[in-house]
Amino acid sequence: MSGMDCLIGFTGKDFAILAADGNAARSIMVYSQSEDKILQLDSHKLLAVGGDAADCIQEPDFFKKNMDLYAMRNGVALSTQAAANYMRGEKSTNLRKKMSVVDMLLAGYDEADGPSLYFLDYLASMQKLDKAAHGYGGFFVNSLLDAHWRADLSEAEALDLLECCFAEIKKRFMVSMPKFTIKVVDANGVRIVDRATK
Amino acid sequence: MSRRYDSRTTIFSPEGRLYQVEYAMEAISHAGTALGVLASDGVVLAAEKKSTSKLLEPAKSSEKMYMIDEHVACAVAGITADANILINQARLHAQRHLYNYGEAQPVEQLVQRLCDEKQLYTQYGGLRPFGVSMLYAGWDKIHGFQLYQSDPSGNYNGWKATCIGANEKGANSLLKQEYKEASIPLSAALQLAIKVLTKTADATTLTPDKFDIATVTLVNGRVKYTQFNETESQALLDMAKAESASADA
Repeated sequence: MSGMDCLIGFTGKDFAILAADGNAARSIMVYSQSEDKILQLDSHKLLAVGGDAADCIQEPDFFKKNMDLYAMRNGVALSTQAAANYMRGEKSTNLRKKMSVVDMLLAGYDEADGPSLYFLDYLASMQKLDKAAHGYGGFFVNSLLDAHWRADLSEAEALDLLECCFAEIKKRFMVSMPKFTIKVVDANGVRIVDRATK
Repeated sequence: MSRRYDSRTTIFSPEGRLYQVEYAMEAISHAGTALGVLASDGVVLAAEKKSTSKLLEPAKSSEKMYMIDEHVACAVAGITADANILINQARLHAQRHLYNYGEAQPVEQLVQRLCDEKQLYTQYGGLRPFGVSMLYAGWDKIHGFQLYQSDPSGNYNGWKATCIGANEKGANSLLKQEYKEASIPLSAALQLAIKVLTKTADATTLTPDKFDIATVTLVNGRVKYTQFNETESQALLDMAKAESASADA
């Protein structure tokens, strides 16, 4: 809701990719420019979060602990679809109980279904999407994603598309976002990737 | 001799037994046989319907087989009233999971939840255990087709083929003999079920109105629970008769 966190995500050929800016700021003051806003939920799930600083720690942590408990009890982790529905349900219940302002992009890889991306926002909406973005920065890139995303992007093409998005943000968004964290999830799990260099 | 340890369900006997649980299993051994056979492409559930009186109006829906969710079905043996409670709980569990996670509950999880309920009655409250054993047949994307059996103690196991209710010992030994390969196709599983049911049934000849048979299969990627109607059941009986005749010849 605050909008200052820029989250971008989309699916590729056999992976899903998330990018998040590195700014931690309040009003005119920048506390840090190397924040990692993409949390690893389990071996094959990534969660990018944006919104209220404290909620962005508490809510995903609560979800992760419950998901770990489920996996321990049942011997198998939740699928990405199940995790998204679970989180949405919790956010929905909290909607009229407490103020929790966290926008999320959930990227996961399941053996049966391949890569998937889920858009969740602080009002507990949830949508499975091929491409999505949160925040003011997100507004600038939605049309770029519409124009350039294809169903079976390779990782190199995905990184190029992200550079295209970052360039637009740099040019047109008044807040400086020098650093972006990029993470990929595929059949082998989760890894951090470096930005494409020309 | 150890009668004084009978009436309280929640205490052990000196030999380390829970008499009430054992008595519950005794009650089940008087109920109509139910058996399940796991195939590579489905699961078969078959049950004998014991009719205690000619005056009985035939039930509109089976009193032995129930659908729990679209991907799980079960057959019961024991006190029907107890079974109804457990079936209802199973259905609630399945829907709650679907509501929370947006996908079908894994079969083993469902079985575990029900067994946790059954176990409560052996440890808390001073209430008697459920006099029902259940066979669960289902499919999920984690383990594919599965067959489980649970009993009043709250224990459960996964099976390739098993039987509960009257004559279960004979039926189980017959299943052990006949289930030879690591896995069998559905057609063979159906034949095996009929064969065992024929041998263990009370009636001298089996007719479609005396038993229920159902399958859990995958059709176009979706799980389907099919209860055979009279014609289809009769067809199975005819096939079994032909097989045994050719085997004897």
